[in-house]
Amino acid sequence: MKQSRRIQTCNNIFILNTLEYNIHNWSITTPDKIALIDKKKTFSYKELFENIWASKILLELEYGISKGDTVVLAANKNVAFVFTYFALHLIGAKVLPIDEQITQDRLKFTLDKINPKLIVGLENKINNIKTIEFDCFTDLEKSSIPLDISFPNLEHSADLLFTTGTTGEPKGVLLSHRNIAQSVNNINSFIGNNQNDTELLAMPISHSFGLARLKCVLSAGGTLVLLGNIVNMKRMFRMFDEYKVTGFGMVPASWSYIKKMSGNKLAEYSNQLNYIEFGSAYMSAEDKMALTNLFPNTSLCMHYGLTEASRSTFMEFNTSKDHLNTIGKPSPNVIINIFDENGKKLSKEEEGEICIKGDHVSTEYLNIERNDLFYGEYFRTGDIGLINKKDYIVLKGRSKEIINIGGKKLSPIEVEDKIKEFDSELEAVCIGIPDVQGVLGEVVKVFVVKGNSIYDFEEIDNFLKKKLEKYKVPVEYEWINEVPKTSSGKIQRQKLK
Amino acid sequence: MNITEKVINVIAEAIEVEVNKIDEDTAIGDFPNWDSMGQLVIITSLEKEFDIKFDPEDIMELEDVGDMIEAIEAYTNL
Repeated sequence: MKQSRRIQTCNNIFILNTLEYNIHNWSITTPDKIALIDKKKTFSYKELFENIWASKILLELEYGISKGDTVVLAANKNVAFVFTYFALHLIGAKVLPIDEQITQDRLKFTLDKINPKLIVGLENKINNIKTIEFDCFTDLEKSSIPLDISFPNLEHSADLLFTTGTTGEPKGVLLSHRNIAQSVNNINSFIGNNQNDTELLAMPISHSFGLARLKCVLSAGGTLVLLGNIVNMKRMFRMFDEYKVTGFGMVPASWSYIKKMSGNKLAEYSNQLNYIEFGSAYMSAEDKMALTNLFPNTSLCMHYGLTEASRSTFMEFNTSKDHLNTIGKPSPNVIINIFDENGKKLSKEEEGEICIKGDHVSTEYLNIERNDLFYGEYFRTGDIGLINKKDYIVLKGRSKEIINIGGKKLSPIEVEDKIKEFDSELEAVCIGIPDVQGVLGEVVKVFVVKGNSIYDFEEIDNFLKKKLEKYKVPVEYEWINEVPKTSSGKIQRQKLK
Repeated sequence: MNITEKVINVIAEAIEVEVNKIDEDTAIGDFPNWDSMGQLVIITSLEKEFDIKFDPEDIMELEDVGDMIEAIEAYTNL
């Protein structure tokens, strides 16, 4: 048992540093250690920081990026993304990582909101904002790195992430360098990440889970191997062998896929894998128990968190076998309490809203007042749960009606609004239904009120396919006579489940 | 329609691309829709179309259209 990797309590006084400081530090103390592997290219920590610095100089001199600017980066998992991401932080600019498959509609919405100075790696047919390719940041000429580097201020904004809002419109969350550094510190404390890790990153980095894995490994001085995705299982296992991978992260949908596509082959790496991190979606207690049988010597860590409060709880399956139906306990340096609807703190076993406090919690939103989202210093998750007698947190439900498609979150209102765009007369309601394939957890189903409409589902479906990212397109359609609503007119989606 | 044509048709429909854009060398990841979900839909659709059930060990070997055609030929000749 690798018990030493499990929960570490921090009794020592700890000074929080930015990730950029940590990476620079590794470039001095372990310059030849491999930091990044992307296809056949490898970069030592020294080379990584040299490239980050060269990218910083290019961004400043060639593209005029300065402190406070916002730059959109396509979340393309390549080394140039890594260079550019940290370079922008060193400048003091904010980074908005965006899914490469974003629709032009969604991109327009985002660009209108933030007016970035530069876009890297995305096609922009919308406006005249300067747009460049990632190629600009590869093979840059190295320039000398000064001895007195000015690292980012912990209180300044580092990342801007859009998360699924309850109104259907994405909500812009600003994460400070402190939020990010604290979150990385909390995660690495729990999982026990260190310099000896070699992690295969196959998750998208447009979402906070994947992006945080990148930050955690590089901040800990480990080696990160980039892989586009897990779709080609043979290639994934080849990389496990070739790079002697010791750590891996995945959403439950990826585990379902791996099982379907390769049976229990991953368990052949049980003794090689020190840790696997799971997150972003529900996983049944049975699945967790099955994993403990396959990986008895691996730290199987599952988190619960949100974009604005990353990894707020953790659980390690092998050491919490009696509590697998919970979401674990607060992460290191995180405090969680349950509050009622009036903001009154509740006792153990009492059900209410899960609220989170800690330096990892974002305190700033784009164009949204913070007050409604907090009870004092506690961030309101909108999720319902309780803390049981053994101090484990039990998630009872989501007060938000968010649909979770393989870890990607979707507000039903976004799809409903698109159907209105197709035909403003149509009344439609979307819900999440279990994925019959047993992979994605939930998929989208839409109920359409049968009225005088001449349209059939195929026409709606074709329209939505053009307007929405693939995972958001409903897989089931059904006619209904009327939408169930409360007396005040609020849609009762639960009644359609 | 022979096996090759049938396989290509199934794949084209599963990942929503035109048939003429797919040949035996087309591989996983060549189209945005050919992600893990796309691969899953392809495997399930092929199993249904040819009334077969792939072993997980064989599924791992299916990296491109040619692999799929070969596998179907082997399974349907059993």
